Amino acid sequence: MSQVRLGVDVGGTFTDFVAHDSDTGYFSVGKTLTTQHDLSVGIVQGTRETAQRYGFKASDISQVTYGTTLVANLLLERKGVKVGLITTEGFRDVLETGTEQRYDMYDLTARRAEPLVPRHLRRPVTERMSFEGEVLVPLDLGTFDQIVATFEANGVETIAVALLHSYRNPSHELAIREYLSKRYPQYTVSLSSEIAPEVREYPRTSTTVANAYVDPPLRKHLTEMEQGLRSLGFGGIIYLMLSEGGITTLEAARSFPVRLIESGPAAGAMAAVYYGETLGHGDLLSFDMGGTTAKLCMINGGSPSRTNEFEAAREHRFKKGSGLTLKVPAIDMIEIGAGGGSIAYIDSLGLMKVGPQSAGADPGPACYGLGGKEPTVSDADLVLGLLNPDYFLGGEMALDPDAARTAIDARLAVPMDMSVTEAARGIHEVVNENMATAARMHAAEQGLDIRGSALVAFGGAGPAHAYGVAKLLGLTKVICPLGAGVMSSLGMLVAPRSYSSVQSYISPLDDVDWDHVNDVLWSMESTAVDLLVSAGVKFEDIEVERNADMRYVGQGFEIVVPVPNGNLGPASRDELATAFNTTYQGLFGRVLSEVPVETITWRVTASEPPPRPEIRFQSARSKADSEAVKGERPVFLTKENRFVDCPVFDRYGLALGSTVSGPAIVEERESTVFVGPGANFTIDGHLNLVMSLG
Amino acid sequence: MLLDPTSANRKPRAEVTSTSTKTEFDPVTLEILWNRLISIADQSATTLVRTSFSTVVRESNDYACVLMDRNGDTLAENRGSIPSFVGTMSRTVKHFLRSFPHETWRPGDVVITNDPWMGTGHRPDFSMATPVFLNGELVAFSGIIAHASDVGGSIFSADNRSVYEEGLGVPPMKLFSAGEPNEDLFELIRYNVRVPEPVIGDFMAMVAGCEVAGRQLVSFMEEYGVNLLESLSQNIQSRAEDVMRRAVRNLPDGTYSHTISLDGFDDPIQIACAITIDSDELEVDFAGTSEQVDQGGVNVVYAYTWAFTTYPLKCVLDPLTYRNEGSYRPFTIKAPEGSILNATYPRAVSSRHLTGHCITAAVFGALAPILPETVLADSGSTPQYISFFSGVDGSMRPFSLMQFLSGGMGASSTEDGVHCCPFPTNSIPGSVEVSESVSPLVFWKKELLTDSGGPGRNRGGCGQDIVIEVKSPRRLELSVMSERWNFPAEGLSGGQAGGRAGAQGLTTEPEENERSLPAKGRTALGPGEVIHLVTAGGGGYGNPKERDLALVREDLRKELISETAAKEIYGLDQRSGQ
Repeated sequence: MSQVRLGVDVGGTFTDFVAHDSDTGYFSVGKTLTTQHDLSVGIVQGTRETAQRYGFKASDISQVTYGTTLVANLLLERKGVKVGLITTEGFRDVLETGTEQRYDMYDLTARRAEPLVPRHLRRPVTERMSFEGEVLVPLDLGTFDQIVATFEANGVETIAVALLHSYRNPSHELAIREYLSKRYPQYTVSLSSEIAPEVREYPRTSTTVANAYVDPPLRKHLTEMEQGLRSLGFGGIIYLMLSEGGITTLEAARSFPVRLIESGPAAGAMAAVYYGETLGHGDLLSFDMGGTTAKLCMINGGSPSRTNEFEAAREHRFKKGSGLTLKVPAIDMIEIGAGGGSIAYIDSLGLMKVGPQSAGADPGPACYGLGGKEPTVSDADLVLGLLNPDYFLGGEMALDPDAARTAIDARLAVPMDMSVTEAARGIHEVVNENMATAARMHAAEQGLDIRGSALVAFGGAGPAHAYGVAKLLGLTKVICPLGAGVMSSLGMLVAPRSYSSVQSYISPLDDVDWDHVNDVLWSMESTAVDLLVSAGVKFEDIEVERNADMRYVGQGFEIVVPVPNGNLGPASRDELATAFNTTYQGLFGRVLSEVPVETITWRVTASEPPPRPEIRFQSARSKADSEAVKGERPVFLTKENRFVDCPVFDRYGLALGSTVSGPAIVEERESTVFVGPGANFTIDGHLNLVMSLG
Repeated sequence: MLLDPTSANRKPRAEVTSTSTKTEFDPVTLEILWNRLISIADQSATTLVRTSFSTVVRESNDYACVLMDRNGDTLAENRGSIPSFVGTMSRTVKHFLRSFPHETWRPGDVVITNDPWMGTGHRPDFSMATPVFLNGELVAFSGIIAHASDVGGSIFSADNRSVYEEGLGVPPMKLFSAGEPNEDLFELIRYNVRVPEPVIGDFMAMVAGCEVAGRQLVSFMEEYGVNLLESLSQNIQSRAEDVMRRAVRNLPDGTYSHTISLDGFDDPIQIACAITIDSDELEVDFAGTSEQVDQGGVNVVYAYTWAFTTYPLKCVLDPLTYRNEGSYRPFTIKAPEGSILNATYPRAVSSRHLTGHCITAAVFGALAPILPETVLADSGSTPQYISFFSGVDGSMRPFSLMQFLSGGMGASSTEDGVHCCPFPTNSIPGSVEVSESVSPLVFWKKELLTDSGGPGRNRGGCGQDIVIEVKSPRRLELSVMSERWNFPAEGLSGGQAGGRAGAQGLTTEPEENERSLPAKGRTALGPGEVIHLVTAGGGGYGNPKERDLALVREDLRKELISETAAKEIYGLDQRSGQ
């Protein structure tokens, strides 16, 4: 009996499927329209269709791994449930005032994101912990019945509890849940000491509230999806993709739904890691350029850069600080407001800008012929000859070059006194420069050198811009995997089962209570390991990674420092100090020998080695070698500053191993690769197009 | 006289006009190169912030990274800084060039000063510049300004009588000479400050930031040449200037005046602001503003006045253009020498923000008749309320903690004011949990204060109510820097004033269980003492009797206003009956 693993990625428009058959080793892909009213309908339907098309049964599926945008969308569209929040007396407004900071210095109309819980549903209780976890004021449960009555009267569906210093001593939060679950079992309760046990009251409260806000609808959805898949005869395990790039069981995901916030994009980064590995490349820049945005992720030595804080549902999508701060482990990606549909315009200074406004799918770029009048990146790419008007989405949609020219002419070329071609070239270059600038900043923030990295390009517009972006960054290798359009769902099948835990414990390194640290670390570790074992991972396969967020006393930023496994003790002090200095030196090029070091937060991640299936597509080469060259067309080349006839290749006809020199165009259904002059490309054994730049 | 090949090659500035530059740059090239230059300054900032110790640098963006040409004229600045430093670095480098002429600079030199009159207006801010060499020629400067964790002298406070009390003064001096540290200067600074490691650590963070920018500027020039660098900046500035001139031209010619009153130190202060629009030129004249004071560090140096006058103008006239000097060319800003907005040496200046931030309110007030839809009512967060605690913790280790406390922002013609939000600066307090972990203090309350938002058709943002208990085994020192005790943030267009600020101590002694704390000054707090600080609310906009009743009920339900205010100020009952 064959064993099929299925990856499902629910996006805004399409739900993508990738199935991997362990017998044949083949990957097969499917796509269906996302059913917004009930996502599980599309998932179940697409699963059935994919199985039928590729000749397996739902009962052959051993696991389904699911990446979802549901949590992100519930927050963005404010479609979660009504939450009641219990806070420490005197701190009712933490959720609303946030960091207090303005996110735009010059915009007097800028407003903070509206808090998920309005003030009248934020109820204080008498209690107080010190930062060392001592009870300063005992918990008074006497007012709870009144608080719950207020919640009931206002239609609250779930309760969040976020008390000061609960990361250090959760006993008051636990007592509240015990009381509530006895007397008011109809409410689910999210505790900040479980959801985000880290110091800093605003992000912890915000994360806990967001968790409560999405919890009931997510539970409902997951239950429906599971029932739907079971009804097809599926008897395997369901996993969910976490924001941090690991996968976890349905049960574990249900207890921390907020950790699914970046579920889909994380899968894309994990797929990039995998593609890099097949080529022996550990240092990568993953570059996913779609219709409205581009996402960049630095991957260093085979692991994507990670962050422990994420901002969701921004009021202004590209303004940092305008959203909700969430303390969740996540793959660190930067999002740039520049995709194929991004609109180019002339700003008040007379300079050409691109994005973040997007023409979206409707009316879309002018070349879609749906009435769009604004010039976009896709319009420019079409005018420059990078896109084929007759082979967009494999020819399903004809593009209108005249409409593209008209839009560029009217909005840009005429006002700037340029030719249409010059303006189109300008759009292409400005958008590439935006990507390169963002990548440089991202690297600088992490103290990483980007120059040795290979660019992994995917998304509808990524492969057309990869050459230009790589040139700007001085990168010499670009990898364009086959089937860039479903790359995220492939990430579901190559991500390891893993689980992370976190606990703040603030102490100067010299004064650390090692017994306490050992208790904290072992308790986090055993929770994570038990979870993996219950998900079917063999105990001996589990790897545990420990880290501590540390900083010099007086600094406000922590850096993540590796912590050795096993029991820690006074001798660990020097070991950790050395590890801190090494990490600090790597990031900032120097250390401060006189300043004491402190620990803030301890982290444990348990994971299995990631699955590494061979990449083999069933129907990848549908064409014979002789059909590889489709013809040629004029493409604008920057250096020559004119159109030059370039050969156009069919991606599905290219033979393995052959090397072709640029300039050239390689077309596949969902994207087009531009190989510039001076570069050459080859198709490797995994059907990746690998471009080398001189 | 030494021949300077770099300047000989350079195009005379007068030739670079908006017409001649059009042939040199198309809008695409300009956008790409300009962005690249700003991103160099941004990367300098990233390096600084990530390695800095000073909370105000890290969390409040109290810094600036500036690229300048060899004469000290600004080429580009980083994006995220607060307004205080607009234009100051360039002036500081020109002072440096007086002490250290061009031919004396060597690669690896680092020059530094914290002189308020050459720099940013108070001693905690250090301005630093490093030279950038290309093929052996000095072609540019990379500079950073940052607020140091400590500068010695009295603790950060408002009650000094001269600048000599306000910490160690460093005239333009070499911190590094050709890459070699000036150990004497380092030693002198270490000896004079309370927390040498973070202070020196911050200097090193600044050096690292300057170096990052310098290196990248070199590769930029290697690619494009020095000439391009400067004409690029000139071109951008003339475009920004054009945009600002258009905005000014859209305002009706005339003179518009407004005077605001502040508590001041001993006596109230008036800021008199007259704005004259003449075609595309805008002049701000502070004639009639109060004299500088001998007692109290609320005096403002001209550079700071300039920064906080141009800031509100840019907010209302051209908020979108990345800041660069061109935007400010249509402005002339006059403040009489010896007035509190153009204070002379050696007046005390360390709390200059208490007066300087309020320039924003005077400018908005003057513009209100011609830009009623754009300006804000006065903000309770103007000026920033600062409390600074210093002493020992439970283990007798020294600590200090600065808390920036925000009041409410003023309402506008379209929206309520934001609660508890700094303006015009952007300094923030950080987490209470973290503050408690680094100080012997317990915060019992930090919450919005009911009825503190100025009533109006659009309500002002609420201020807050903060209660802090001292857990130190010893007495500690508290410095309060606050305003708005007597003169609250005024409303606009019929809106009413926001709530006033204050500070009280609730001591453990039964016979005197409440005492007033100074609005601007230092006081000792005993173990167990509890203090109560209140920040001011923002002014309202429009008649409160015209506020949407649904919003009045919502405010009442959220306890942002009291029942009394709902009835008496907003006329809830009376209007509901109609």
